[in-house]
Amino acid sequence: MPDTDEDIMRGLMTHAMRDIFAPPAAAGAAVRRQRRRRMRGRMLGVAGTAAAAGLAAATILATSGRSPAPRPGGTAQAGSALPAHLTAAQQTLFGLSDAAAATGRPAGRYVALSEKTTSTGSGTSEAGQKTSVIDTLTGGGVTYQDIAVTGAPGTPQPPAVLPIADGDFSTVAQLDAMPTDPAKLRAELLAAARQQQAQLRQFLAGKPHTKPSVAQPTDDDLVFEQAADMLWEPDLSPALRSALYKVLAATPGVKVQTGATDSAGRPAVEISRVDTVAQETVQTFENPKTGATLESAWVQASGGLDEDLYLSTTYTSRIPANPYQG
Amino acid sequence: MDRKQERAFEEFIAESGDSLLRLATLLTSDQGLGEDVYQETLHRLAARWGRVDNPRAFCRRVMHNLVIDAGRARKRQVAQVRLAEGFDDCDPRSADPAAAAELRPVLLSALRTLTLHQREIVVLRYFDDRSENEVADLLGISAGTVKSTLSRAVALLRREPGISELFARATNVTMRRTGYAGYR
Repeated sequence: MPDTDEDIMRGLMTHAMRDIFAPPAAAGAAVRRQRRRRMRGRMLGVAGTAAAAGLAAATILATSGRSPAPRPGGTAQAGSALPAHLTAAQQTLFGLSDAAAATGRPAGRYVALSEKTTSTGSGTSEAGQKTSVIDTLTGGGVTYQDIAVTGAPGTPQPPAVLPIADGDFSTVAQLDAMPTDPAKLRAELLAAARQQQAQLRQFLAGKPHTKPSVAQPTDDDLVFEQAADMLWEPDLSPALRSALYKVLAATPGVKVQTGATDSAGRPAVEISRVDTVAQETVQTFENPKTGATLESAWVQASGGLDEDLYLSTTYTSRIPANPYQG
Repeated sequence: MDRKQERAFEEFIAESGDSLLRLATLLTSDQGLGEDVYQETLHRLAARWGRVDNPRAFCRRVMHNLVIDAGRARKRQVAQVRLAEGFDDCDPRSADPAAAAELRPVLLSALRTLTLHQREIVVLRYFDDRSENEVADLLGISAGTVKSTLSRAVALLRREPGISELFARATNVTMRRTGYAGYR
């Protein structure tokens, strides 16, 4: 018997599409965007760092006691010693470092971070407020949110309450275990990022229809991404926050704008850098007096924007009620 | 997503990404738009991963929603990754990539002659291999409508010059292969 029309249609479609393959980078991009939008590096940035402790330790040993080789373009040393010549941008970052080091650290088991979040692009937008309540001892918590999705008919709205399992967030102990020497911190951030990349490559290696992406992020891309993703953490010790600014001062491609304001009009120092692979601009706005992060933004090359405006940070001894209900 | 969920997501995409991209391409009957729809679908899946029981069904639903608003979808931009960079023309799995590359424009062009409704039904039924009941559930129509629409859509496709030729060729090949008595 001849094939039926159905058989022929099936064969035709299958054959015509057989040389189209989805690159693994697409999944990575989705994960990356989601990571930034929801946790902004909290889970991978720090948990990944902890997971990579062994690798990081080796790297730290290799770099301990000496500063990285000078880079073209007059970048600062990532070590503790102040370089002889600082650019204006580096001076500003060292000023933020000093401000952060001089700021006290509030106490309280639970930290409640309230923010206004906006995400636009691809014809859709998400906007609203949310409050993340983090248990600094267990790394668990809960996110209360009042976020609406528009421009995407049929898409479920985000839940009002999002429970977060213990260990998903970094604990104060984990953060305090991170090095505060800028050279060691840079090495650890880089090792963590490389470890994450290696895990992904190892995972994808077993998949027959995947191949490594041609373009790879540079060390400086990875260090900036990790450092910028940590800055918003409300639980950073003054010493760690101070060290992060010094790491940024030693990272080529970082732009610093003084006299800026965040989306709420608050005075800020704007720190930004363009990723060499995705051509995405990461912006972080810092309080010039305390070194605290006021706003984080990710501007995609295609025009999409993810933005988190940090409104308040409070510390309590018990989990607060949902501020968006009742 | 935590790390475990990210790996599960990546594993799902590693296993299903090709077929999802192909599905998006057929549903939009446009390779570039299909790439955009695929990327956007991945973003939405990642945003809701962990709360989705059936990822493939979720992707199908998202693609349906995206394709419905085709005018808006055409304006969608690929975020971060240009998928064309990842295409591998020399992939050994493609037994006859040149033939596929020649066939695809003919098929996509023919699919564009269908209404969106017809195209979705044809693609979901014949490419995604959904049953008539599953297609009916997804599109919110009766199984009978799926069946009748399929019949009309295939008849329309067969009128397209490129497709009619392929149908004739496929029929002849099958007849020769099976020794069908009606073949001369």
